Amino acid sequence: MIKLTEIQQETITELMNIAVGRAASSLNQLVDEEIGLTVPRVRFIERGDVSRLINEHTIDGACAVTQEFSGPCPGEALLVFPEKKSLELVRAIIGELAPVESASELERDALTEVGNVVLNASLGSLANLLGMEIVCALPEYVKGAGEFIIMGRETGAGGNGDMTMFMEVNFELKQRKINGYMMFILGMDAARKFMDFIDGYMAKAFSSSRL
Amino acid sequence: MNKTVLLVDDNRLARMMLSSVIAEARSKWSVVEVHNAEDALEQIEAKTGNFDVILVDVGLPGMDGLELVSRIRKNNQTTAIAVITANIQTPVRERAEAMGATFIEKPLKAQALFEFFEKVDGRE
Repeated sequence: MIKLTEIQQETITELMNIAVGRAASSLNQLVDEEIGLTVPRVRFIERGDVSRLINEHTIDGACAVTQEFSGPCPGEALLVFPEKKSLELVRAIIGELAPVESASELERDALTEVGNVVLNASLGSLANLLGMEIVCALPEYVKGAGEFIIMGRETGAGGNGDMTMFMEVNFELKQRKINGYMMFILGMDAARKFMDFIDGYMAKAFSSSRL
Repeated sequence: MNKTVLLVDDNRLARMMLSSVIAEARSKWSVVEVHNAEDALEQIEAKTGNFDVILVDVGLPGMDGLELVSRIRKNNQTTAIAVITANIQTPVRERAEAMGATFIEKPLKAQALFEFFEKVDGRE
């Protein structure tokens, strides 16, 4: 198990804040309304527990865009919405591009593109801040209960019973009252490497602050 | 002058958004849409020299967008290419720019595409 010091925890929170802030700005451009964000939360949980969290957040089923990434810290990122809000979100995204009736026909493409933009914005910002390069797989759209979204797949973040480093941010489209969740899952080997990058970032930040 | 644009993106919504901005900015330009790099290369071979502008997403099924640009550049150093991607990592931007492509971030800001088109017009 990795035990984070207070300063490590604060550094991760700060970097995640910057990264998801960038993602929120991208989402704001897509839906043209203010996006509220919670403070990022980092903890260590079993990968299978993520499905329970998704079920708690989205009582009547979820839509998710998942994106695996490789590189020094392989893992997976998820953008999760309650299923019953998905068409409303699609309508917000397509705006005047297509008639309102075509929202359900465009649902998969629209939400996949939102996931692509939002997850890449946060992962890309984080990679740039930490000076690492990650390779993102194509985003995948999945619909169903948390078990289906998480436990049906074994990924770079490990098997369902394995411990993972789990980072989560909740966001809200303020006018439409649509809540969503950005989740990042790293297996423990990846988490250790991630912490090396965090320590490297802190060392650089502290040395430049002394100049 | 009228131009032909090759638009390469696997996502229908992304293609719709781009086409809508192109129609707004350059209503007389024609657009050919494909959803992967292999189809893009086929179109380029079939219409050698006829695409004036190529817009490419990075994340594509099969060959990715940067590999596609690299293949295009082997035979063609002059066509205006923009890489339009949500992948905002610095090395991705650097690789695109090193191949002479303009890097445009998603979500697309129409102004970024307008500026790219002005550069294209200015090359005439």
